[in-house]
Parts: sequence; structure tokens; C-alpha cells
Amino acid sequence: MKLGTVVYQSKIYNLDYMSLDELKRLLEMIENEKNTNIQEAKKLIKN
Amino acid sequence: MEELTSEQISSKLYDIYIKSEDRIKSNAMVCRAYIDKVSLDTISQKVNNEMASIKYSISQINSKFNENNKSYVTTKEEITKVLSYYEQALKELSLFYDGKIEQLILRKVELEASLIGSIINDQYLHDKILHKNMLKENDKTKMSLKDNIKNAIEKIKNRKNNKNQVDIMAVSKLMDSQDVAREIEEKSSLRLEKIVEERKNNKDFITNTEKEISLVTNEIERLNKQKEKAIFDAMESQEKSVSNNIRKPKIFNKITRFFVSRFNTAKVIQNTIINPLNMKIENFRTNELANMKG
Repeated sequence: MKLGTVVYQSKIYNLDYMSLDELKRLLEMIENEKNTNIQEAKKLIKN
Repeated sequence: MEELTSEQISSKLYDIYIKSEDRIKSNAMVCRAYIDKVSLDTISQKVNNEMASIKYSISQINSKFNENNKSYVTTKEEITKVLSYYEQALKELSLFYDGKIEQLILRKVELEASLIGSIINDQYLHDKILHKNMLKENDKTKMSLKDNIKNAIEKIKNRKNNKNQVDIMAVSKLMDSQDVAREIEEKSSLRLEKIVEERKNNKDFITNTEKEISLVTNEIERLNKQKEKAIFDAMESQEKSVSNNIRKPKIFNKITRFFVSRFNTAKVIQNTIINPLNMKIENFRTNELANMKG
């Protein structure tokens, strides 16, 4: 099954060839950035 | 920290929206890939363990069983077949969990997109409230009415001072004007109240959505761990090794070429390893797997 590719911070990640640990690390990075963006947006509207 | 204007805030929020859209999609894709990889790796490990167990068991039956035996190829095919069957059962088990997790991933995408939309909507409502307040203060119709009412009151006062008869029509018109002014004020206040209420509901929605995202994330993690354990526990032997169940003639403790020619290793392997494993898989499919699927 083709899992596809993801572009993140100017790097291309081919999900089919990544190990479990690599996937876990990438998932954590993206999740953290996403949460930071949301918190940033919430701070902007705190008025 | 310098105070940002409304336009600056809106611009920053738009940038965050564009970045977040991409991150939400990427997060879902990587999460899906991770879930699949956990399934693949766990199943692979389990199949390898079973293969090692079978190899060990065969060596217990007959350590000299190899390519030189005429039934080796058939036995090898049978073993490959049973291991494929074993792997297939494990894949069905993992699919059961992965299906549920997939639904949760999609729900998370939906919630996160809603969250970003609501945050941007909050800024829009904030600006709308400010605008409505400003309009309310500077309503030209209301101001002109106020001036006219003030002038009319002045005229009536003057007439009264000059001891002229009070014009009833004028008083009536004055009261109508006051009613109109009050109506405009009320409508304007109502509109403003509605937007304030909408903003409050939006803020509640943001809070609730965040909570739900957290719950869904935890549930994905929990199900993934549960799946891993279920795959490892599936079709596990209660005994320490399969070979404990193997019954072979006692004479095999010192096997000789004479007895080897009379002893059908392939048949023993079939009866003591392959058939019981097939039965275990079948039992798993008809009982545990079927119960799970409902």
C-alpha cells in the first residue's frame, strides 16, 4: 500500500521507506508545530 | 509587546491558517503511515517467531531433515502455506483496529479544521462588534432625530413661556419622534447583543473542540497500543514450545539411518506441527476474530 510523501521543513519524506522510529519522530514534530500554531492564533485573539 | 492593529492580527491569522491547513493534512498522513507500520512490524515479528518455532520443532523431530529428503519440498510448501494463513489471520485482526483508528484520524482532521476556522471567526466577530458599536455611536439618523427632538422641545418651551397655546400636534409629533429614536436604539442594541452572543458561543465551541481533539488523540494512541498487544497475544501457545506436544517414538532419541528410512518425517511434521497450527488459526478466526467483528 502506497503511503505517499510528505513535505515538511523543505524536506521530502517518503513514508513507505521510513522506519517506525522515524515516523514517530516526524509525527511528533508535525504535531508540536501544529499545536504551537494554534496556541499562537489563540493568543492573537485574546482580547 | 506592541499592540497590533486589527488588520495586522487578521493578516497573521491568515498566515497561520495557511500553515495549519498543510500541517493538519501532513499530520493525518504521517499518523496513518505510523499506524500501518506498527501493524506491519508487529505481524512480521510474530510470523518470524512462529517460523523460528517451527524450525526448532522440526529439528527436534529429525535434525537431519533437509533438501536431500524427497519430501522436503512438499513439507516446505505446506509450511509456507500455513504461515501465509497465519499472517492473513493477523492482518485481519490488525485491519479491525486500523479501521477504527482511521475513523478517529478523519474526525481529528475535521475537528482541527473547525478549530482554526472558529479562531479566525472569533477575530471577525470581534471586529464586527467594534464596528457595530461605532455605528451605534455615530448613527446619523439617530443623531438627526435627537437634534430635531431637542429643537421641538425648545419651541414648545418658548411657546409656554410666551403664554401661547401649546400646540397639541407638535407635542404628538415630538412623542412619535421619541418613539422612533427609542426603536432605532433598541434594534441597534439587539443586533449588537446577537453578535456578542454569537461570539460567546464561538468561544465555547473553541474550548469544546480543543477538549475533543485531545480525547481523540489519546484514543488513537490507546487503540494502537491495544492492537499491538492483541496481535502479539493472538494464537499464542500456552506451552513454552510447540515441541512439547510432539509425540515421537522413544527410539528416536538415538536415530539411526535404519530407522530414518522407516520413519516418515514429513508425516510427523504434518501431524504434529502443521495440522495443529492450522487448527489454531481456524479456531482463532471462527471464535476470537468473529466475536470481535460482531
